[in-house]
Amino acid sequence: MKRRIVVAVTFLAGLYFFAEYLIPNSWQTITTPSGAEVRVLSDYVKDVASYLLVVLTFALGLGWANLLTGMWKKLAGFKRDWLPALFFFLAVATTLTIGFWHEEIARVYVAEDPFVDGKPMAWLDSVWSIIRDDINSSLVASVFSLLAFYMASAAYRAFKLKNIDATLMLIAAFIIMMGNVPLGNFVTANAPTNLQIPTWSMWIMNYINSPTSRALNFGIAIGILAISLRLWLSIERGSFFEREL
Amino acid sequence: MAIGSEHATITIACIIFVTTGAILFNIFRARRGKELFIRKIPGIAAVDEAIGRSTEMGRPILFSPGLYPVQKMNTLAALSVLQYIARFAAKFGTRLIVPVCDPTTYPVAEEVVHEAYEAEGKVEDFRPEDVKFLAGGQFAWAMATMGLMLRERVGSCFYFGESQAESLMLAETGYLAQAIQVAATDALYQMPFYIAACDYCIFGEEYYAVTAYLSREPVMTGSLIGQDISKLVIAGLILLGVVYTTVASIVPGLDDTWFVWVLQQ
Repeated sequence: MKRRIVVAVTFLAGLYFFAEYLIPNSWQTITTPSGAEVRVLSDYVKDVASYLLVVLTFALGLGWANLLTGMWKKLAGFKRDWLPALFFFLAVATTLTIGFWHEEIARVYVAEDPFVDGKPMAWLDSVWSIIRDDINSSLVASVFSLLAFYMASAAYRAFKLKNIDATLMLIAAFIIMMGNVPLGNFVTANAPTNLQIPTWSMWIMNYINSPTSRALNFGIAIGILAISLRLWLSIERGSFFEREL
Repeated sequence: MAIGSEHATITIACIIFVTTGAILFNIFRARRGKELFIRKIPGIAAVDEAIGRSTEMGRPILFSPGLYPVQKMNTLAALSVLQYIARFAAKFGTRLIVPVCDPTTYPVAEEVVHEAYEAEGKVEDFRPEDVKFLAGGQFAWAMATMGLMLRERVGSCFYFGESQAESLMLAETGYLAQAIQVAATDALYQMPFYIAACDYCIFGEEYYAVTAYLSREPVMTGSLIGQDISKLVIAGLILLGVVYTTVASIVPGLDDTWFVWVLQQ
């Protein structure tokens, strides 16, 4: 019974969005007795889609519960990694308190700016700014900057003349790289246009990279369509429909 | 564009119906028992090898379902593969760690792994704490996952689902942990990173073919054949357009604007 309900709801929801996309406005517009024109499908898309938000909100709570439980187990028994767990709870508590407080003040005093210098709550805005911009954003930027080092180490391993594929990749990468730095332009500046490295770089990007990307996108789009169809008709394998692999 | 204001053109509707028809027709054909051939895809064939290596070394498997929430197609495809890997892990008693970034993916991932252990009759071996919601932020999650990979000394890593800038960080950490790595993505910009850093890669349309290839189940195989036919139809249309436009540019008086007009309707 449970499976049938899931299958029916999935099918009806899928049918609604499928029909809404395919049927043009002119075919679905009716005039109500009051004289207003209503699109029987498209005008309700936002409302139907909001049901998804309701379901996802429950899942959000489950995710947080898992995180808090895991951290609490470490902290409560002073097990391995209890100190990071302590910092986790301190960070969550501080950010939640300051964040809610800041937003609430901003909401209540919406007509006047409560955080201007000289106002009693200006300090709250400074603290919130430290947490949000100075600490969080800086940490994220620091992690992101590590990517440059990882790129160098991965490129060092990958760009070796091991086989034909790797050799082609090395040559293409060299041309593209040289075509995008001033040195590449400088080295071949006096050569005819067709022999300049930036021209080769553009050629690779426009005539090899672009068509390949488009071809991949076609395949991906059709793959997404196929998996959507299988989910819509409840014939996808996996645990979603109680069919085992 | 505002929600509810975008509708299919006639050409798009025709392409959708042709594609859908081809997929459904082949699903039914496969269900009737017709043997369908799927070419060997090395990246997907390596999934079993990677699981086996982890089992032999007695080290955990790490499966990342990506950054996106559960309603995204690439996350759903990743969860289908997760179930396959979880069943293997349960069968051979290998620990499986699933770091989750999006809170909405977490309960589904946990359920998928739990069901896989249940299906293998090893529900007592299921460790709920190994399906972890680590952080909602991309880089916070990446850092936590990288730490996990090194601390737990994972033997194999599977990167499925949506990946962004953190892809290379994870793959390089997996390399440091001396893990065998299988990466699968439909994100064009992450493909070079994975090619450079991982042992096996599954890209583009292959990503959505993984479950079909692994399971060889008629519905999945038929769907895959339908996808190939649809691609052939689209490739044929492209070829037709290229040839006609080329001829129209050479032959005086031949008009190619109607071809564009048809596609725009």
